[in-house]
Amino acid sequence: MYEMELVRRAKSGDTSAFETLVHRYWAKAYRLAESIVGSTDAEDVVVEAFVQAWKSLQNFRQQSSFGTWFFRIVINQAKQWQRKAANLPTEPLEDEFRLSDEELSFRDIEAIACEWDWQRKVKIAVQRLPEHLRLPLVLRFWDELSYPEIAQVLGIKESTARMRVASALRQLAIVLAKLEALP
Amino acid sequence: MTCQRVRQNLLAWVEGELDESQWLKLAQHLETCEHCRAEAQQWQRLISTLRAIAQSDGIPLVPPRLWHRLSARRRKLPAIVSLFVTACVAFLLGWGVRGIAMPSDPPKTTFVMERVTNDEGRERKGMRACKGAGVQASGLSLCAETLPSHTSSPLRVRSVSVSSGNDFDRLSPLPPSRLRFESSLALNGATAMALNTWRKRSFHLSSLPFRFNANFPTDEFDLDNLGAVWQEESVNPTADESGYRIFVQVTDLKEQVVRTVLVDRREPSHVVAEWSEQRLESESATH
Repeated sequence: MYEMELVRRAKSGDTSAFETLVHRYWAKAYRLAESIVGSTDAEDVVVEAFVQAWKSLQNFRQQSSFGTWFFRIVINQAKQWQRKAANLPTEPLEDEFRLSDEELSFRDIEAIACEWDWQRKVKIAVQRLPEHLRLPLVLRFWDELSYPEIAQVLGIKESTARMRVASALRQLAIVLAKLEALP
Repeated sequence: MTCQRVRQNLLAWVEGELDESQWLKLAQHLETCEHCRAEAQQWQRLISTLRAIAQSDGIPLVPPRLWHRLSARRRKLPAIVSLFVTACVAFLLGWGVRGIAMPSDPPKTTFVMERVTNDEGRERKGMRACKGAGVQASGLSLCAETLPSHTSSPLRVRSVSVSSGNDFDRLSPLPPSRLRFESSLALNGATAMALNTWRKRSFHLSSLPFRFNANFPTDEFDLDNLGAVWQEESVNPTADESGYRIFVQVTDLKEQVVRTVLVDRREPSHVVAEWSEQRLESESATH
């Protein structure tokens, strides 16, 4: 069923339609929340986000996709969660970002790629990105949003969204190189 | 094409968003520039990995508590209460309903008790009934005797639903606002209802701030009517990690019976209703 039809039905009180939306967006929302609050709290955040979405569905005017609207809720919930949480998420390691682009060592990263836990390291590296770079990256490659959609979710220009994703990839490479250097 | 220009367009190139002429120019540069080529390859690898992560395991299933939270917000909840047999004698021991309707000597009582679990209304496994129970100082003592199913108490919870949601939840400690009963609850003769919570398992209608009167019959009793009293007395959800319990007592003078319903939200995915029925054979209920 088309998403807009699902949304229309959900707005009219069809809970099964909303449940379909939950199943459709659960994994993506989880990845997005995980990138902000970490895996421990991601599930709670997404649950809250869906409850909030259900409560606020009447306010959704369908001028954007449900995903765009809902991911904003996820981000808001995650940030709210962060504020409440005593243990704030990992902040970027400042020294990692003092490196200039000239210090990029892609050969090092190639070596990391050979390791069996490459994906795990990438996830860690994503977590260490500063939020303004991490969120566009996650929305692009984990939630598969287009750049105009990312811009809409984050309230930034499309060109800014592209620039931040590119910067995120560069920073990711730096962080991965750092991770490789760790004992 | 310069390295700087390539870097500006690298993301679009990796994502296949460049038109043919731009793509060719960039590809030509990458053939000759080792540094840009290495970076492009790394970006391709990173993006590929990121997308693979999105598809990988490690994402938990939608937790049952989400469905409960959502269902709790439904205005019209379908009848979704089902039954399963329970041996809850031990649980009821210590459940001090002594004071409900026995001002002096404990009367002979008959208890019919069941535990109902909200599970989409698909299960209904019968009931266990107890007769000849006596009230002792420590609470109830019961001798179990299975009655034929569906002989049944008139007390039937069709559903226990929550219309304002967030009940019993550690995140949103709002009490439920609505309990819905079947008309066969026989509220017609009821003269009073009372609510109580986990921490006051033993209670008496006349001693509770939750006491209220309602106009019966009704098949849906809206706890919102309790207003401020209920809100003030809503229990602290952190008091018991296992969740909340709310007791609803219906004193039915006509049938000489006091019925107690327990709504239990210990299970995230279930609303459990448990009730006992106390038939007054020697005394009238006081309320």
